[in-house]
Amino acid sequence: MMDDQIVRITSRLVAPFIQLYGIYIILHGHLSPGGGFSGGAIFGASLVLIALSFNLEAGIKQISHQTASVLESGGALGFALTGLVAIAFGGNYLANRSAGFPLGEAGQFFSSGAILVITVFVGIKVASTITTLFYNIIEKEEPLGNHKQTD
Amino acid sequence: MESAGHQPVLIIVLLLISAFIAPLLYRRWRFLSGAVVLAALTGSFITALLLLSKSGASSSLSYHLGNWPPPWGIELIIDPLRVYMLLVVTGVSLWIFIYALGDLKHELHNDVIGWYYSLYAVLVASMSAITLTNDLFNLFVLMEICAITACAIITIKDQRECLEAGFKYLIMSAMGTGCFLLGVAMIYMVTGYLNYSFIQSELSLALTDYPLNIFTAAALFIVAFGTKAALFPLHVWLPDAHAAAPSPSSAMLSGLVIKIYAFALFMIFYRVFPRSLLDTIPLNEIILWLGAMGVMFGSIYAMLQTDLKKMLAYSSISQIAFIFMGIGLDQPLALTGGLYHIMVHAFTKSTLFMSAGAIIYSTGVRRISDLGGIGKVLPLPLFAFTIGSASMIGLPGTGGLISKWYLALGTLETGRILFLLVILASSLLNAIYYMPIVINAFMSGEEFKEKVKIVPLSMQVTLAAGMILVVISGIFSRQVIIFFEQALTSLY
Amino acid sequence: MFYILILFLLIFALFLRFIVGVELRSILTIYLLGLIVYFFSFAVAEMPTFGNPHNPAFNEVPERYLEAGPSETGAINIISSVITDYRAFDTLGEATVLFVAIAAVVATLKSHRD
Repeated sequence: MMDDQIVRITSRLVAPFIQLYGIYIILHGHLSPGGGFSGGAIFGASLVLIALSFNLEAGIKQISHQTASVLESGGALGFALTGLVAIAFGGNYLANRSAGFPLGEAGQFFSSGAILVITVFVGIKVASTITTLFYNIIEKEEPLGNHKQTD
Repeated sequence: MESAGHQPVLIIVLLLISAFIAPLLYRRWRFLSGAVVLAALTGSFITALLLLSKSGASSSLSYHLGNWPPPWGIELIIDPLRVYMLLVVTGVSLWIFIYALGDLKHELHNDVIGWYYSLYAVLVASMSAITLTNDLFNLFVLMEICAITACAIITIKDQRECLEAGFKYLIMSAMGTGCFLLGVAMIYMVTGYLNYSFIQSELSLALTDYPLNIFTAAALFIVAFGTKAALFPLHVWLPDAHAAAPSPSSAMLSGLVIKIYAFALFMIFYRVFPRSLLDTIPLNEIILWLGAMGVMFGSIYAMLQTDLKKMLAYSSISQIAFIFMGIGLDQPLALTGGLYHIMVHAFTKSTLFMSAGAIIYSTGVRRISDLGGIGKVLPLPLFAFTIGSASMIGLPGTGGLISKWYLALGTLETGRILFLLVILASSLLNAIYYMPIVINAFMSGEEFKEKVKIVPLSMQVTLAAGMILVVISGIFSRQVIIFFEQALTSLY
Repeated sequence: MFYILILFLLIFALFLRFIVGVELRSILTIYLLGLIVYFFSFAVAEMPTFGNPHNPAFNEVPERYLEAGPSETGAINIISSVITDYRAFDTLGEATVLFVAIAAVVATLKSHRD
């Protein structure tokens, strides 16, 4: 979209760090402020930044429509299935401790059982939602990528 | 209260999972995505039947999500009234879905049908969760899902007026959801709970300390549910939205979505508000008057329409108002009538919209005046339309008579003859605008000129099933009425 | 006092209608909104004081979240423990809202593209 050398180079430099920060926020959802929603939004924002400073094709190269929609469904599906795993372990739907998920020691990274899993799935979901929404809204009339066979 | 097994949550989760994978499947195996959603809908209907046999007519079971007991976690409750509503939701949506499998190919673009299946499954999941949930904030989240999906199944059709109607609907229902959230915040502030049962016991104490907050919350709830269920002065979005939508969506929206909010309001009145609150401020009286006005004005507007689907949409406004009148009369017989009308109207209006959809599918005609002589070329859809009209008017042998009969008994019991007159007048008005279509279709001498396509088998089967359901609800109503009598004793 | 207020509102409405030229419909809307604000302000005045420890909202519910949260859920971030464990079903609902929003946008844009 934008044809500016400074913006391109800066955003290319900054984008990996933003993505890393997003992943950090998601993975530390049970330890520090943040969690799946905020971390996913940060991660998604980095992809939006790339698409904005280069063009849509560059953004789609990072995460294609196909992958985005698989992640989209996969995040929500993973969340719902985590709840079903709790039923299989003998708890009620979406149970954590009472279904026997290992809680670990509070404050450690590997703690809190299902919370960590659910946070990761929510993070994936939110990140893919933001990118998909952005790509779909800025897409022009002519179909792109794997949309060619449609309409 | 004993535990319920995992069935109640499985209904919701099954539908959600099928919704999540339907669009993925649709890319590769188009046939499979419809089959998955169909299987999930069938599964949820069967599970609801199992729940009915489990709960019986008087006991109530509870399910604690995540094993957290009520004030901390979210609770689902299975009691007779909710199971009844759950059966109506899952059953009717399964029936409409079979119709949609035949009709959608003609109404939608080929690539969006997978998304339609997905949205449909989420809509049914959210509606079944609304009937089961016992938590106000959870109800808010589910209403949000329901509002977005309901808009999406309108705007998915490739026509300008669908976008306009869907946008109007989106704005109105967002306003309703906002009012509801504000009300929930106020209730939480003065009670400290979100669970229905805990609020009910706490609210009678809070009524002395914070009366104005509770009144405001009640007002906000009425506005919220009134907007979403198209109660009379807040109905402006409904005619456009229901008329513009694809026919399966119209059947779904008119048949179930507006009723789920009427049912949620009923639950709030009798499971969240304590009796002392309903006695302090005349909430029921407000609902009753708005309902009576809706019955009259909906019928009058419907008489003025020239478009078939728009007429049916206005008729929905008057019929949903019957359910609100049942709540407003605040009396077991009237409530029986109102609750029975939820089922009857779901059957009837869905049948009517389906037959309208079949007419549009095979001939493309929407204007009422162009329907002369169409009964000879499309006998089954028009016969279904006739049965549906009979039920709308309340002729004997159809479900419409039973619900209106019990509502009328309720008005007599409370001694409010005015509202009896409203019910009678509305039946008369219904006859005035439904009967000419039927008579014109079958008995007018003119030949039907338009080209006629053959109606697909799945649509014919569902139309026939609709006729049978409407008649069954009129003849074998006794069991259900007895069921209500037992269930409603817990409220008084 | 009350009558003076009514008189003032009436004159103000006439002023808006005939001197400024505002439509009658807009004037009615403004007055109706003013009436709603008037009634709401009483409810606001009656609300429990913000942050008062004796408020009804500070009951056993947040108490258990705060005290038993880390040991019952293993997460030292209490917000995480509430939204993904105690009330995880709401969060599943929110995730579904996101999914549905995407589905709605994609479906609508796809069918209206041409």
